[in-house]
Amino acid sequence: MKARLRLALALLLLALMLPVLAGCWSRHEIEELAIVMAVALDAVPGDQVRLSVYVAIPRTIAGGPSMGGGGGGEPPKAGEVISATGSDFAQAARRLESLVPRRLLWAQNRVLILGEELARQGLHYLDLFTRERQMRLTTPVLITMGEARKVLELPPGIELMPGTILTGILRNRTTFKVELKDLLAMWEAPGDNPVLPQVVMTPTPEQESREVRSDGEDKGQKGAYKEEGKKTPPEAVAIKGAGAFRDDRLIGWLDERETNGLMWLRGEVREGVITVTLSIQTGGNYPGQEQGQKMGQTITPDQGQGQPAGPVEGQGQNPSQNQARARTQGQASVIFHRASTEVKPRVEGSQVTFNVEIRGNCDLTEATVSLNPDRPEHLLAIQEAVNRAVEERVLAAVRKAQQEIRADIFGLGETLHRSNVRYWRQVQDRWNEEFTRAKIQVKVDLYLNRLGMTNRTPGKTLDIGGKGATQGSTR
Amino acid sequence: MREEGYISPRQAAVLLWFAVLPTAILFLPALLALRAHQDAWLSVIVATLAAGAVALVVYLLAQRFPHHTLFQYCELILGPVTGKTVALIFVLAFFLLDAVVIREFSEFLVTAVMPETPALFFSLSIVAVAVYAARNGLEVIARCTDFILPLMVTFIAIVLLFATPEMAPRNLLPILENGFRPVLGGALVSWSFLGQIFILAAYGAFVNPPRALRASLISGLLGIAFFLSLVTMGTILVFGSCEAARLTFAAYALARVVSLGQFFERIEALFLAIWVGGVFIKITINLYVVALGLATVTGLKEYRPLVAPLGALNVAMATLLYRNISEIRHDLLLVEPGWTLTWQLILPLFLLVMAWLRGKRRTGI
Repeated sequence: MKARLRLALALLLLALMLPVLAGCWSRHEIEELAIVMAVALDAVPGDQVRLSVYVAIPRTIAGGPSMGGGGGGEPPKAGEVISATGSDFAQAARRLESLVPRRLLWAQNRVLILGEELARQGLHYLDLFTRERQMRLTTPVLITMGEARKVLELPPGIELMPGTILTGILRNRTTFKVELKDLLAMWEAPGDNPVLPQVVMTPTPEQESREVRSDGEDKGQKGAYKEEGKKTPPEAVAIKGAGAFRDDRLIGWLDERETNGLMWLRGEVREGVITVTLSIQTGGNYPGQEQGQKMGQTITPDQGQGQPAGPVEGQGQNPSQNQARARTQGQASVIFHRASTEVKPRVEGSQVTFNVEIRGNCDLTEATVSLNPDRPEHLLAIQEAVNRAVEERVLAAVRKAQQEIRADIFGLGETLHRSNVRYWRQVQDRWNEEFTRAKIQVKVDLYLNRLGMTNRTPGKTLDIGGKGATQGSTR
Repeated sequence: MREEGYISPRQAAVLLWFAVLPTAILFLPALLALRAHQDAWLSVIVATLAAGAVALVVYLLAQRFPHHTLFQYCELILGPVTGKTVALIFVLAFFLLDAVVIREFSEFLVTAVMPETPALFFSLSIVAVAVYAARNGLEVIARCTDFILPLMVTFIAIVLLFATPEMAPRNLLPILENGFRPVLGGALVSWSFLGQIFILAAYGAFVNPPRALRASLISGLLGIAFFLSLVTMGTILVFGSCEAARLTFAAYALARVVSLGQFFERIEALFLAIWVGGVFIKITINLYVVALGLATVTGLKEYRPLVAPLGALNVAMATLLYRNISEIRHDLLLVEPGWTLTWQLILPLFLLVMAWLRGKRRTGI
């Protein structure tokens, strides 16, 4: 009898557990969800903010793989941009939900784009994105000039979603990446100010880069055209440049060169390409001039167009009509995979000096200047030009930060904080002011020690001063 | 004896680990970052040294009264009336501790995972399981840990390992920026978690052989300190002290940043499942100790009938204890350190001194 009662009780308990164990409590089926893939934040007049989200349309995404190889026709639009305004983002998000027939799911959000106007008002609006449980602190944050919403309206290319396009570009490491947690850390650290990578909408960069190749000068955004579709879409994005903040407000913009310098100073450079214009002389004096570029991105064209100082003397004995031969003047690009930056602060009286040492190794990846691999001074010339190019970029960034932004966007204050706590205490409350007076000395030691898969530059064999050059084609 | 089972010294150490760590890794790193900034991990080490004092007291008491639980030797030392009163204080303290743990557990699940589910549902379901386990006795609880411990250790290791790309060693510098005071402040906060190793006084009587108690105390405490300081350090390394102090649930945030090559990410759900297992052990062992203590004080032959009602009371207590999460933080930061210091160190020390003065000791059974 007792055993039977126990059995009945156990069965009852099992039956009672059924609804709970089925996991139907507060469930959200995927068909009932609108998956947010990218978020753009803007300020609109009247102290209001606008929240724009890119919501994936599951039909088109699901259809994508099944269509398989049949890549004909327009690429399908994978999502839709919806916006709502409110006095803060929580309100806007709620209003957004009244516009979509599904519940918004934020957990898959790929990227957070700040509009210029909102960034000028301050970062405190980001609170929702750290507090709401679906948001992730690892979401990359970008900033854009003007409205952020228009970035979401990017036409699909290789990737369907703007969020995936942007994170894909970020993964190429052509520029630095700031995740939400990094942004907050930069904002909250007393000796640091936020900087965010900038998204730029560019018109038909593919055409532009075609131009670039035809006239041999780098003007376009090569970084962007990689992400493009085969057709020429009306607009594409590039991530280049940066928005610089003082405390939590956007103050100004850094161009690509300055951004690159900023990345070196922050120790964010991991890999990249630097292109320099230089002339190789027999004399031993190698004035190099910068025309640098980092992973396909060009810096302002006004740099590097200058003629090398001093008379240029060809070392090839063949004054052929073919210009490709024996170019004593030209460009060289180096690629580096690992680089390190060390910043050492020094305090003398009330003068703070930061000694920045940049070290690394690079490989030659392209040379349009005639190069004789058997003459180490040729490599040294390139190396010196590269070093100078890096130094100039860093100094350009420093100038911008000290004179225009007037804020320590390099986190140098934190290195001072770590190394000299006593002095830091005196200046921490007015660090940004103090920073503008700080001296920053840059020493770049990038070593060029490999030539890649070939040694001399291609072309008809020239007797460029060595036995090594008597072989035929290097293929 | 109200408990027939015996546990090995290794199991005792593992139980100790579970009696502290699950809630500590979740709540403590952020509170420590608030108090001690980048030196939070130093606070853990200082608090471990302080918790060594508790371990010593527990050990000395156990030496004097082998095979006796805390509640039994209270009476032996102080006589029936005072002894029972003091034992009752311990029972209440463990009861309160259990309620806090249950509340922390349900608060976390509601905030971080399932905001639409009532908190009461979480506390009820975990306590239901805990009641079932506690009724089965210490041996069963100890054997549960054999299953959960490898999972938990592996997972903490995975999270810490795969979060390393996000870590920046400079976040730990400068060490001792504001001297030792913030570190001590942080140590006081972590003390209220680490002092919970005092629970060994209640179940240490069932460790066989009794003289191995020292080994379980030391290895348990070191294990706790090791993992706690690693998680704290990991949190500071990943988020920096300013940002770490803003987090409500540190270890969970740490699990959320793990992202390995675009496919090994969003592992926090797994973390959650395993962590719930850990908290289950913590709640169970506390509930068991409360029931055992109450049975001892009231002179019942069996502690089993007490488990379910105590569990129910615990759920009610957990629900009523705090009005909001701010009160939990306030409690953990300001109230608990003093309170735990009182009942986990001063009171046992008083017991030890009394036993020594009155020459009380029991050898054998």
